[in-house]
Amino acid sequence: MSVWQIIIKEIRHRKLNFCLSLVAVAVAVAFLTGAISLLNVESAITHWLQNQHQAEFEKKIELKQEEVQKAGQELTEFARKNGLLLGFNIWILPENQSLNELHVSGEISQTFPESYVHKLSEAKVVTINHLFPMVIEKLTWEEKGIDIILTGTQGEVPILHRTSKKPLQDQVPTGSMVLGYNIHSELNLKVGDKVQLRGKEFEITELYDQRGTKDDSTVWINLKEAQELLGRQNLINAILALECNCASVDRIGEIRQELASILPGTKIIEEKSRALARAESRNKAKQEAEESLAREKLSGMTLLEDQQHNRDQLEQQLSFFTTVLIAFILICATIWLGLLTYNNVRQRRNEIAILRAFGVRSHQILTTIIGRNLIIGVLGACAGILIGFLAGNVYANWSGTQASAGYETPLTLHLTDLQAGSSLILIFLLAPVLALIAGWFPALLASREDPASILQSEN
Amino acid sequence: MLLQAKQAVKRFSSGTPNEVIAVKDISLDLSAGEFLAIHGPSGGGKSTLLLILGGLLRPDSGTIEINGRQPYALSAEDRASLRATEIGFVFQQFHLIPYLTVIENVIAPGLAPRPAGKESSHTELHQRAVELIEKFGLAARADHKPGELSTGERQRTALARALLFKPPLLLADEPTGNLDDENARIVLTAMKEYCAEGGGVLLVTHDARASEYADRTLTIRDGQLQAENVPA
Ligand SMILES: Nc1ncnc2c1ncn2[C@@H]1O[C@H](COP(=O)(O)OP(=O)(O)OP(=O)(O)O)[C@@H](O)[C@H]1O
Ligand SMILES: [Mg+2]
Repeated sequence: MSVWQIIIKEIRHRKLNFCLSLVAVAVAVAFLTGAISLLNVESAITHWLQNQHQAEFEKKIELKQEEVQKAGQELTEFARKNGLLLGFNIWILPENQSLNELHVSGEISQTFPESYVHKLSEAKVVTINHLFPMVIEKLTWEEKGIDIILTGTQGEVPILHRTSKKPLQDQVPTGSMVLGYNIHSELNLKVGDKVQLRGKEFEITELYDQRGTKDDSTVWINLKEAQELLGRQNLINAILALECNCASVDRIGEIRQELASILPGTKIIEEKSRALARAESRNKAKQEAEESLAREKLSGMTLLEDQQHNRDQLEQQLSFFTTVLIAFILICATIWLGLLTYNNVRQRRNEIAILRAFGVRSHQILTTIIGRNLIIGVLGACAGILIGFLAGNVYANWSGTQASAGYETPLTLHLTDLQAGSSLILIFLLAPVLALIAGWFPALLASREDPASILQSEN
Repeated sequence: MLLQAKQAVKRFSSGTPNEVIAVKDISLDLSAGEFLAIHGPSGGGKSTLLLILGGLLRPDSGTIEINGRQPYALSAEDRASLRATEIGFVFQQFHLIPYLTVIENVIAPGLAPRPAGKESSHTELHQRAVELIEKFGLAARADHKPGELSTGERQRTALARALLFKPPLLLADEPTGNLDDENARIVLTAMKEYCAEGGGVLLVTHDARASEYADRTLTIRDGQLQAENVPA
C-alpha cells in the first residue's frame, strides 16, 4: 500500500469532488489556452494583413513608377526626334519690358546696356552657347514708304571661355543690309542694290526666303549703325541666345537660375515653337506622374501606418481584456479548487485521524492531499489544453476566412500560429502549480489536525 | 512493564463553567501477556483514558510509559513512530477507510514508516493480513468495502488491522459494543489468544462479557478507577 495507491482509490471513491475539481482546472486552462490562441491568431492576422497591404501598396507604386518611367521615355523620345535636346533659343530682355507690347506690336521699347552681352560672354555660363546682342525697333522706312522692323545685329559675341566654337551666324557688316521676304518682294529689291535708310546708304547683301514669321518684315543692319540711326549708342534691346544646352527638360528654369546672378535686371523668354509646347506638355505629364507617385507613396504610407496603428490598438485592447479575464478565471478556479479540496479533506477527517493514530506521518498525509491535486492539475491541464486548442483552431479557421475575405489568397492559419510549444509547456506547468497552491492550505490543515480530537468526538 | 500510567489527569474546557474532569488521577500498570478490562458507564472516561494511554491525547498531568518510553516527552513525529511500532488501536467506531477493501484496510497501517530493522515487505504484510482475515472469518469478505460489511465484520476488520504488526500493546475501545454473542466471542477469544502469544491487551467497555476473558477488571466512573477485582 503506497500513498499513490491511496490517492487513486480515494479518487475513484469520491468521483464527484474529483470531477468538479478537474472541471475547475480544465476550464481555467481551456480559457488560458484559448486566450493565447486568440491573441496569437489576431497577431498572425495582423501580420498577414500588413503583408497584404504592403504588397498592394508596392504594386501600386510599381505601376506608378512605370507610368513615370514611360512618361520620361516618351519625353526623351520626343525631344530626341525633334532635336530639342540639341538646343533651343531664348531672348534675354530688359526686366521692365512689357511682353504685351512685344507680342502685340513686335516692339521692344526698353533697353539695357550693351555691356551686358560682354558681361555674359565673360561669365562662365554653361547653359547657353551663342549670344547675339540686338537693337530692334518698328519704324517706317520713309525713303521706301513701308513699315519695317529694323534689327541691328552684331553677330555672335563669342563666349570667352569656349572660344573654340565656330560662330553660328555671320555678322552683318557695316554698310550692308539683309532683307526679309516681304520687304524685298514688295520693293522689288535685289542683292547689290543700294538703298537709303534715314539718309544713310546701305548695300543689300542678302535676301531671305519666306519664313512666315515677323522675320519676313525685318530689315537687318549692323548693330553699331542701328544704334546710331536710332540714337541708342551703347544700348541694346535684347540678347538672342541660341542653342541652349540644358541637362533637364526644365530649360528655362535652369537658364533663369544661371542668368539671374550674372545679369540682374533682365528676364528671359523662350522662343516658342509648337514642338516645344508639345514637349512641355509631355514634361508636365511626366511631372504629374512623378507628383502622383509621390502623393501615392505618401498616402499609401500613411494608410499603412494608420492600419498598423489601428490593429496594434485593437490587439492591445484585446490582450488587456483577455489578461484581466484570464487572471480573474485563474483566481476563481484556484479558489474553487481550494474549496473543493477543503471539502474533500473535511470528508476524510476520520481516515486521516486513524492513519495518524497508526503512526502515518503528517508529511505523508500532506502528500496524499497534494498528490491528488497534482493529478487533478495534470489531467485538468491536458483536458483544458485540448479543449482550448480545439476551440482556438475553430476560431482560427473562422477568423482567417473572415480576415482574408476580399483578398486573392485565402488565409490559412497553422497550429504554430495558435500556440508556440513553449507557451503550451508553460500552461502545462502552470495548472499543476495552481492546483498545488489551491490544495496547500487544506492539506496543511489536514496534516496538522490533532487526531485525538476527531477520534474522540466520534467515540 | 509494558504500560504504566501514573496519576494521569485530563480536564476538558478547563477554567470554564463547563469544565469536565474526564480522567482523574488515574494510575495503572499492564504487563506483557496480560488482558486488562476496564468497565464503566457511558461518559465515565473510558475513551479518554484509552487515547491518553495510546499516545494520542496529552494528559494535563501525570506520566505515561510504554515499554519504558514516555510518548508525551517525544516529538509528534517520534510519538507517531512509537505508536506505529508499539500500539494497535481498535476504536469504538472502527474508523475503517471507506474506499479500501477489507484486506487493504488491514494493510493500511503499513503506510506508516517502520523503524529500521522492523520493515516488512509488501508480500509479508499481505501474507499476515490474509492470515488475520482468515482467523477472523473474513476471508469471503476480503475484497469488500466497509460499506458492504455488517457491524461485526467491520469490528473484526478493525481488530485485524490493529494486529497487523503484532504490536506489543493492543488498546481496544468497546470492540464488542455492537456485537452479538457469537461475534463478541470471536473477538474476545482472539484477544485472549493474542495475550497468550505475549501481547498486552487493554480493553475498555461497558460490556460485562469481557470480564470473563480478562485477567483483571477495573471499573472507571466519573474519571476515577473505583475498585480492582481479579476474577477467581
Ligand atoms: N473533547 C471534549 N470536550 C469536552 N468534554 C469531553 C470531551 N471529550 C470527552 N468529554 C467528556 O469527558 C467525559 C468522558 O468521556 P468519554 O468519551 O471518555 O466517555 P466514555 O466512558 O468513553 O463513554 P462511552 O461509553 O459513551 O463511550 C464525558 O463526560 C464527556 O462528555
Ligand atoms: Mg467511549
